Amino acid sequence: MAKMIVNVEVNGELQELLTEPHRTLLDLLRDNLSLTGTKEGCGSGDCGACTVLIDGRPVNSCLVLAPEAEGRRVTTVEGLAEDNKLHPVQTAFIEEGGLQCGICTPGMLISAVALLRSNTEPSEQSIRYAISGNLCRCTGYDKIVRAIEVASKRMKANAAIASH
Amino acid sequence: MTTTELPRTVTEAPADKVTHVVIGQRVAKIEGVDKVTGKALYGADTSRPGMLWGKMLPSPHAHAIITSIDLSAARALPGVFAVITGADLPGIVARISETDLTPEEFDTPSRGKQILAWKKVVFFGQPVVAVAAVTPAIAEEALALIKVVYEPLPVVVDPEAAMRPDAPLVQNAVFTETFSGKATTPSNIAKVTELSRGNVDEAIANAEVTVSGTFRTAMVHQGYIEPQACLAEYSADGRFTIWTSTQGQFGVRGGLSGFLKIPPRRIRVTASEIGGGFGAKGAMTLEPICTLLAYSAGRPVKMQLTRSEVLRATRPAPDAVMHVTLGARTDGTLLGARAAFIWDVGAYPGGGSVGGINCGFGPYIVPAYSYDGYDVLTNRPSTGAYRAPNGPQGAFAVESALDMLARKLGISPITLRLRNAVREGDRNPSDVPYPRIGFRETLEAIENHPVWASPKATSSRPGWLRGRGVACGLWGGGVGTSMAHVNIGEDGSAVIVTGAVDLAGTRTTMAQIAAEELQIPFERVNIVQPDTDTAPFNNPTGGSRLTYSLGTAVYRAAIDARTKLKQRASQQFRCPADEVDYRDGEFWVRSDPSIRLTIGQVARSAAGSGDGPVVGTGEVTHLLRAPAFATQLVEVEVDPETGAVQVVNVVAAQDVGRAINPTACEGQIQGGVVQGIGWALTEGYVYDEQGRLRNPGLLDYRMPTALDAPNIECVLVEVPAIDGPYGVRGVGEVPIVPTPAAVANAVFDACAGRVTSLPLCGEPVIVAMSDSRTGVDRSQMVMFNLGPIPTGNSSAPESPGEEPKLATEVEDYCAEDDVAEPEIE
Ligand code: FES
Ligand code: FES
Repeated sequence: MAKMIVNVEVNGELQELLTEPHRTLLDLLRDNLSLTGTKEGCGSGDCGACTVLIDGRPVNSCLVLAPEAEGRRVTTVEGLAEDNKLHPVQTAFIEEGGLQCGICTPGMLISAVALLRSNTEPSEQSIRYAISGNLCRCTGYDKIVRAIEVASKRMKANAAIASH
Repeated sequence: MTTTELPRTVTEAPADKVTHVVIGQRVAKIEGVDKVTGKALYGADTSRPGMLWGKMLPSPHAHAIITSIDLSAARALPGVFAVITGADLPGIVARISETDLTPEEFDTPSRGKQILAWKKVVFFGQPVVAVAAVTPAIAEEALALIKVVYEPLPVVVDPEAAMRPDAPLVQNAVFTETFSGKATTPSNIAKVTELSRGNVDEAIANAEVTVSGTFRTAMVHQGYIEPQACLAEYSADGRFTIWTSTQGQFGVRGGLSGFLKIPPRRIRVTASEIGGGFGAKGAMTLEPICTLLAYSAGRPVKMQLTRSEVLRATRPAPDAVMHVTLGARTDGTLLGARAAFIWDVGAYPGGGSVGGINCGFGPYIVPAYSYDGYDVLTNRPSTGAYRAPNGPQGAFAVESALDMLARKLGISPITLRLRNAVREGDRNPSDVPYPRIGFRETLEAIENHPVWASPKATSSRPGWLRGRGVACGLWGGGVGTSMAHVNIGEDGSAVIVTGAVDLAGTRTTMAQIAAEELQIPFERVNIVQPDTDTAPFNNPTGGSRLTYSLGTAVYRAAIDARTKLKQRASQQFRCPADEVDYRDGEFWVRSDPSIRLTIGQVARSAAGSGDGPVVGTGEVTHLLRAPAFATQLVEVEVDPETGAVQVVNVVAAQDVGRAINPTACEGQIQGGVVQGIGWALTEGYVYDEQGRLRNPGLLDYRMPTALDAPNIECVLVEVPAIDGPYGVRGVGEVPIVPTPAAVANAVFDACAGRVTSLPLCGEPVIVAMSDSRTGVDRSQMVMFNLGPIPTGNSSAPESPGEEPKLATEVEDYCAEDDVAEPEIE
């Protein structure tokens, strides 16, 4: 099959990627860029393990064809920490026991970060709603919800300090 | 938390050990950073130069003869490096092992041997051909070019139907196994288990009150989010290297060694980070075929199952049909119980009945009983372990029946259970006595909990009904061989080396144990789990055995390291070792405490002097099992119009023995409960009459999302186990056991409908409600009369009258000789 070039910004870096058009954004990330932090749990949009941010919005990357990523800004779990410092959501997941096996964690973190960007004080219900497309089979979700609550409080506190 | 005095039976710690500083702390997960940054490498995340991709062709039939396979177009496709059918297995394995093998070796009814179907397929989605190609797309293209001609056979997917005399035979060479021997003609009834005590007929005849019911559960999947994935490489020196998502790299090495008929030294297995297993990754799935593809292609091969392959063709948990009768006195004391549990184990023997019986009836003293278990073959995938294997099914039947009994007697379900609860010294259905257990304590924890003590709230949803249910569960505990090394670094830090797989948090627990015994901060301990060439031997992880067994090995290894460090310190102090004291990272001479060395100083000097650096070792083969009990209170809301059920609140009390890390214990409990909620409400395999799975995707096989999961409060009860470090018990299995029954009991409380089949959301609730209004009693179904099971030792049946016809005697749809070898081009 004829290959094509896709230009896409991934975690702040412009990439020029050679791919077959039937491949997905998930394949591009995992196979072309070796960014294996983004996981494949189903390949059909049902589990959320492959969630990434495209232009700031959470999307199942297994449902995005590679050509559709042309010109987009993609953020994966590898792009959450900045300057070797974990994102507050990452820290909260570790501290609150928001992960066990960790396979759902990259997608959960992305969904949580997307939520907290648009809603700095989410209720428990809106947290549950925001991650309802991310299946987790280990935790029963309870500690994930707590971790996102803790992160939102900390981010608010940090923002308050920063604005002073 | 309730605490009891701590036993220390493993190795008595020296007297200078005083406080527990790390045990019981909510320390953060040790590998957390790798997992939140995407660095942790799971099964599909490793690649090798020149790697190919392997794929398998699934059978479109649940039961059919393979007449011919045309591989010519697939083989000719550029980029295809290997194409393998069941016919090729003996030849390839013979070349690898340099032994002579016959096709019969691989033509036995064993899922482990029949990694590709041969001559006939026995379940929908069974792999028939495997290919390796340069890209996944070319591998798929090659599969599409393969032409297989099938001759469909009659299908049986219902276990009760499979027991009937006229049922199609799933396997030709499976003979009913009983305690007294093996039958001589093939049958779908693979195994019969009979456990009994006392005169149950008399006990039930004399009972003042009886209840009985027939309970059904659906086939469900473990639902790990990471599909199985494996990478295999063969090297010209005759060695295989395997990277795989498994619960035990030594189990894979042993399994491949047996399958390939080569010694373990020719196989090196690395267990990747594992994205959930819940029992399913304790058995091999992709490893044998991936290894054969890599050998045949002469290139590394990676395979990853798709989600539909995971659902169709791995090893889900068996569905069950369970008949239960209980007889009791009016005060609730159980007098006798009769049960027949039918397990649909799928197309290959295995699974097993005893676990479900012991989990279901094990919590209660029953003076007279007869429990029969039947493992029945159907045209479904072979089944396997799922978190407390067969426990949730058994408990669903028994705990529902107990709820019926409590309601009939008008007593509290907790009082009824307390009246009959086993204590230390009582025996389980298999006649094994219980050591110290904390069952009653979990019941009391729920009885005293404010949610139980307060009146039932009204439903938060208008028109919905609210209910509350209780159920209990038991898991007997897992044991097995574990080994650990504790390497002391030249700064006095420690690295634990084990060959065990951490499914969900045991690395952290192990580091806590080592830190505790070395009396150093948790942050100075690391843990690695290298490959089978590097790590000390461990049995696979499963059955809630790891914290208990590996914990003991780490505990012993840490104490060994501490003892050796003390000896090194004595060399540096130039005094006898028994005059050296140690606490919290410092050694000193007892007679002159001003002479001191830190653990780092001792380790640094030891690195180049005296007896040298320190490695502590610890091993354990067999501990006394430490049974874990749980009692759960579930609150639900039921929509009487649609039968929809929402679980709104759960209080889960569990005897964890000793909570080394309460966060980890709670996480295990909450995860198990939500799996149990899925089992109760929405999860279940749906087959059509041709035996095709209708819901092989996560949209239709519906597992709970964050919106379906309630708040789950955990009550950690600590009744120490008598073996193992700090009294710890395995926590992972038992929390799933009571949940489905507790949900069903809560639904009854809400809407007066006794739901006897899972998943219950929707129609079953509506039917149960209408049955209770109209007085229809579906619980009194009579079990299909099997008659005596013919065994090898009992040619003359004991019971007079006409001998029942079993599946063994009817037309054999697929006797060995009738099946011609398929043509392969
Ligand atoms: S892999 Fe994309 S949603 Fe499951
Ligand atoms: S932590 Fe294992 S699936 Fe979520």
